[in-house]
Amino acid sequence: MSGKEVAGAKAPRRIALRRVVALALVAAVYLGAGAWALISGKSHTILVDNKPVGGLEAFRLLEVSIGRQEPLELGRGERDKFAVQGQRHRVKIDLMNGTDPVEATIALPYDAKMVLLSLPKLVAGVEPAWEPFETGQDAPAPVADELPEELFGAAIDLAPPEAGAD
Amino acid sequence: MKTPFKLPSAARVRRFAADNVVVLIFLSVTAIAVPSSNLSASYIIQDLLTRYGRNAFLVFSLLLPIMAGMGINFGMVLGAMAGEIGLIFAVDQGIAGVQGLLYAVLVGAPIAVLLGWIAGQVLNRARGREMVTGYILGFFMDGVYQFVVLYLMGAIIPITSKAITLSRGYGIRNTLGLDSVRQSLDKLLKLELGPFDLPMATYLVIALLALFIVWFRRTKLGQDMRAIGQDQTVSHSAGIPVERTRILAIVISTLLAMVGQIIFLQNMGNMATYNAHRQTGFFAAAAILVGGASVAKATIPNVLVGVGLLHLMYIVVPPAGARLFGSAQIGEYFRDAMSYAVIALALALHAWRKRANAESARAGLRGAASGAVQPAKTEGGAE
Amino acid sequence: MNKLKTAVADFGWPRIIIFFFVVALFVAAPLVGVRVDGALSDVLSRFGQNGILVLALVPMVQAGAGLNFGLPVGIIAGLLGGTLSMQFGLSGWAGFLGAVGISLPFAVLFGWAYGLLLNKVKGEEMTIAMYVGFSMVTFFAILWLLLPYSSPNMVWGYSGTGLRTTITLDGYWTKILNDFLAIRIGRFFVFPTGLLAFFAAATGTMWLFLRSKTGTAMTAVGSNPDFARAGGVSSDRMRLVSVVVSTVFGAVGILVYQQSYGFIQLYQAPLYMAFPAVAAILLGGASVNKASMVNVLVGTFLFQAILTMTPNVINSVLQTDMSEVIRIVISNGMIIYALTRKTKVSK
Repeated sequence: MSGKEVAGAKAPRRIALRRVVALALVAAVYLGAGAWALISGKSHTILVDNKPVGGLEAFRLLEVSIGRQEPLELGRGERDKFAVQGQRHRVKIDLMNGTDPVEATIALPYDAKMVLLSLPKLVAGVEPAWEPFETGQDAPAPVADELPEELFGAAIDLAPPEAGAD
Repeated sequence: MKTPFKLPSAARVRRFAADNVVVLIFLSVTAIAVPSSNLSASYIIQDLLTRYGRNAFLVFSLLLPIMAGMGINFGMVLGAMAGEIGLIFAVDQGIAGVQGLLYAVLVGAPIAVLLGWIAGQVLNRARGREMVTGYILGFFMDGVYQFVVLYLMGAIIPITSKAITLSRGYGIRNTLGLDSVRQSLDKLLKLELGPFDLPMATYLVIALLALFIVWFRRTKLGQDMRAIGQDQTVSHSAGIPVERTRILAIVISTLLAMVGQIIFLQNMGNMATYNAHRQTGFFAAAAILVGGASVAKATIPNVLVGVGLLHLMYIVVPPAGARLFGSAQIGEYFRDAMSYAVIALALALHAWRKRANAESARAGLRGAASGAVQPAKTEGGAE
Repeated sequence: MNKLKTAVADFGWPRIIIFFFVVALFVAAPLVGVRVDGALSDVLSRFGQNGILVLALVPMVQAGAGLNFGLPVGIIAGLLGGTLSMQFGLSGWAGFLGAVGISLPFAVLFGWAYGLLLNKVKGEEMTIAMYVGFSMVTFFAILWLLLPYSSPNMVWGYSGTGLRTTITLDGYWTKILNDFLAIRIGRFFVFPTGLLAFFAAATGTMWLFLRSKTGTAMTAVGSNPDFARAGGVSSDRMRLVSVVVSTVFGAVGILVYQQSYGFIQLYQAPLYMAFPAVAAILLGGASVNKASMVNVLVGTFLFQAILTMTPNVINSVLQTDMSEVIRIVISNGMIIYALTRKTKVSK
């Protein structure tokens, strides 16, 4: 009521300035944190694929890992997936034949929910080694929708419930 | 220089018991239930450790309004709703992990500030009956929340994921899976101590909040709040902006409840979109009162003790009921009845004492200035 | 003009808006293919069904003990009466009147204890009442499981003990008041004579009570405690009487509600039953410290009209069931409005 007026009208300029600075700081932190969360928190699914593609042979057996996740073993023609966050990822492929593991970095577009990463392409250095993967349907088949429970439930219900079934 | 050991006098024991009757009743019931639950100590401890991380933050959000003399902020469910809206957006936009939680907090913050400001305005018009008004305000906003989430989301507010939308094309499903953020804060810094898992990051956040509250009490604003909690009229004449400070107490409480609900839900791992907030205020209120707080005075130890005691009872009573009466259902009703009764009892004891004090003060006044006219009622406080 | 303004301010904008909302619902009903006579019939029977629960709030408001959010205390007494009457095998009028008769001593007892508590906590009644009601309901949920009820129509079939969550009154006293001398006009309209007569009798009783010596003393305590004290009226005693009367009406009210509904609902069902009743009386123009029979009648009718009409009309207009949202917002909005109104300085 009167409090706001007092604070607003009689506040010296120095305090007003300090308030502006504080507000700007809060805004900056808010936006910065938001940007960081949006960019580095965005989740993507990477399908790692060991199938022959475009004249490239599939590998007999390999071990692939993305970032610091547990490596997956893929045989010829096999496919598996990694759930990742952020857009740039280091992929490490061990062909299990005594050679040094192949390492590569891939960068995904922000809005790609799921990409198919062809490992033969990656090892052969084909750019880009991944392509967007459309499942056609991102939702599981809709189960029967339940509607929320009513707040006052029985207190103001018109239709009688199913008769006291046991 | 030690004072000689003295047995506590009967009067002192009685006084202690009267001051802590709620805690004592609760403690004795739980003490009976613990052995009959037949649960192992390590199970109970692990469950308690988890529940501390899950619930303590929410209970802390009640502290400031109590300090400002507004009683228990049952309107904290507004903050819980804001947190849930934040989580809906985090899930919808596929922001996972701790970043998802942070994103939910950032989305929830402006909503919580707005709702808290509204709640503060409403409570300022309901002086003397803030608690019941806050409670009903929670119901009211539940309707608004349902309108927004069930009808506007997906229709006017863009929601991209079909997985969380009802099959009719708008509205959020009844259950929201939080797989992408599940326990991401709890797992961030996990400490294995013998047989126990400690979610250190969650504890750290709670500890920071406790520090914040300690610091806040010493700031000008915190001092103002305490002064208003003591006496509004005196504070007003001392130049403290009473209404504004009260609103701020509620805004901060709502903000904290928003964060608390997000912490709570990340631990649960899924969210009952339309029901998750309905019991939030009840649990938090029961916890802080069981911890020995009153409507007018609450401390950080009250929160910590209360969360532990309340949840100890929630863990042990259903199995105890199953063993004693052959029905876990009885145990579940019993713990609800206990929690409701504890709230009723704590509120009643406080009102009782307050009245007794007021009456003795009035008696003193009457003796001093006989024939003095009854002081005019303060604005809107009459009930 | 000024007079109109004060009248409007007195009645309150929310009520006027809601009133016109109800009128609009009735006007819109035929346009969207909802039968007005059928709807009106529904509203009338729900009006009688819920009326006594709303009526039960009046004495405590008048005595200055606030809105009785602890109405479930009375409701529990009514549930005890109803279930015991069934257990004793009473049916028909004997069953219903037996239920009322059995519930009365419980209601008086509970009301008395509840009133003693509320006398200790003057000024904080409402929040405490609410939690007393909640704990009563959950405490009795345990008793419904443990009490030695044995009638096979009431207990769980497989275990033979513990009452069911919903017990049908078929074969006992389903709609016994509704159907008494009911007048059917056309295919869709039924006038529930017995139900409304009972409600009228209850309202008349309350009206007479409030004008009795005790009733006026009670009102005096509510509107000006100091003046009443000077007149030698014990404030505590009057408040106690008001709580007991309120609890008794709550007990009878739930029995009337259930005979119309056809089921006894136990366990968590009564938890929130006070809120719609409170919303109704406030909608009728009552405030936190003043309520009349007119408030009860108008409020119950308007509130039940909203509950009945919104699902039908709004659904046909918007093609979606928003009635729950409207109901929550209106009923709780009304309560908040009443709680935040500056109470007038009593003379």
